[in-house]
Amino acid sequence: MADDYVIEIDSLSKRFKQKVAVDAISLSVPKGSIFGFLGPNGAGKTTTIRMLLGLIFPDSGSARVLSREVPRGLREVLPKVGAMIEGPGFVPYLSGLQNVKRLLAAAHVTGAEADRLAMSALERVGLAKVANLSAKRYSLGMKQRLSLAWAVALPRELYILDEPTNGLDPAGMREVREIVVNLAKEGSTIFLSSHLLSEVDQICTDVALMSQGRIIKSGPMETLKEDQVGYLEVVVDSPERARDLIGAWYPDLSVFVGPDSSTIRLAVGQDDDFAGKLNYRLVTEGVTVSGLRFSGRTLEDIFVRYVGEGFDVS
Amino acid sequence: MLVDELKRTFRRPRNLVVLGLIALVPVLLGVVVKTLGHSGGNGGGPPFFSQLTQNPVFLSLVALTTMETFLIPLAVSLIAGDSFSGDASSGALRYLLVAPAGRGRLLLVKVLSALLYTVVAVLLIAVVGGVTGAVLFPIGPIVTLSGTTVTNLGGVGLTLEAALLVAVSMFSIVGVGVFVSTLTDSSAAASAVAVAVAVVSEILGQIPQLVHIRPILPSTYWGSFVDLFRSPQVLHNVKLDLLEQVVWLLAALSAAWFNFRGKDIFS
Repeated sequence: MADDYVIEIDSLSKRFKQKVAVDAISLSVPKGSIFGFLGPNGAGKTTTIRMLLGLIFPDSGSARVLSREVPRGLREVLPKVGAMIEGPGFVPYLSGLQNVKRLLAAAHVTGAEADRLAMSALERVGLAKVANLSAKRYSLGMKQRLSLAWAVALPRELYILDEPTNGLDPAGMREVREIVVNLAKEGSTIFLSSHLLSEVDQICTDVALMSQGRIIKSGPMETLKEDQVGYLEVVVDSPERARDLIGAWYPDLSVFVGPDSSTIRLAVGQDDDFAGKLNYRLVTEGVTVSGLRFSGRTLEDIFVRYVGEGFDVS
Repeated sequence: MLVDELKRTFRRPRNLVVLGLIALVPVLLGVVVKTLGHSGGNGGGPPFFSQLTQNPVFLSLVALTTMETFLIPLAVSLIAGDSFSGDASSGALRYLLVAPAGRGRLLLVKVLSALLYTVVAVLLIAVVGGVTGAVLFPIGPIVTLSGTTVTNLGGVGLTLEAALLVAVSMFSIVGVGVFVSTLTDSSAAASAVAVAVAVVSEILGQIPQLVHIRPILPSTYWGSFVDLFRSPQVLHNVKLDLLEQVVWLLAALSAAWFNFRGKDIFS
């Protein structure tokens, strides 16, 4: 079992004075997965990540990373983990290249090998042309890329990336997604914390939802989506009439108008036959149908169901 | 990793400005004395002041004497106080720890970097003082405090020994600065505490009623390098100074390790 999971958390807790930041969470991250770690600001995601990396010490519970207990086994664990933690953190008056080399030196990589790895990492994130520019002159997006450059500078078994696309433009976000997917293809596991649900939806194979210090739901993305009852959206010219017709045909079905005045929603799961028949019957009755689509099974829908609307600080 | 830490210390513009400013002090002293003369006479002014125009080494020694009480502690406090706090405030500390640098290794590297900066800063004062003195004053006999003379080469050697002793005399303040920088993300606060320890120690050392605590104050034996210029040398206070600095440094680093080894890093 231990070899199947790169992170195994059991009843992990951390309290700051009166506030419980992480409340007895348990979580398993499968090897080879791209694991999305989601939650509102203040949910406890970063505290959890800091505990996994030995920056913060837990009050109780246990965590195993790459089959070793942390923080006790950090010396063996950390060389196998690439990490971005809560945004950039660099010496402002050193260049991007010097900053990455400084961290490589901390990881016992020096000399020509450090030069080669640092430049290669900067090229990978598109910073090669500004490698010798002081970090303080980097934009937020460039600093974020610099953090990612460090995280991927060495081949690692596990990458823990905390909000890797913060401050990036859409093209930059796409590049980061490609880097993450490629790291996974190379056999590494990615533990990705993000508040961008669509981003996680696009690339993650597994997901955990965290709110108010607790894991609300976790599992493979497909399973979560299958568990989620969706709805069929039908765009028509006369929604009131369509609603009455459908109500008569399918008395057990919940039908309501919205979210706009030309759309009605039917609480049904994915069923293409049903959609085809419904379209035919509506058109036969003289209702013009201009759109039909199943929805309600996005990660956002799952998030709203379990965590609630909005991303309010908890 | 030590090399990269030294780059961080010596490439910081502020730290280079500090080095530049403290190097200016012996130049300023030399120019003032050359221009206005010195009316110190025997017993007036700091040690060696009356001999300042006799040989270049005396400018180095007067600079060390006058700067040891405040400017040198201030300079080393700025660097020591920034050791952990600077990386904490920029966020680099969490990346270093996860790299992984190792908490003990990081403490060792940061202390060594701050100590090396201290040695460089004090040697710089001595060297700039010597060079300025050579330009401004004649190279005359070097008369020790006991009235004997030493050769020029011997005088230079003694001056470098004195500079190294002054640098080591700052190790207690470096230790305090590094310790406090593990407590706070504010470099300014950590540096201020280290300077305050130096100043308060000097003030307490002047109060007759507190004579019994003088032996444990970090500044008590700061002037002991003067004893190197006696013939024969009187090393009693020099040895006490070295012992005291080592004890203070080890105590401060033990406190730093005790605090840092299990500290939650939020920065």
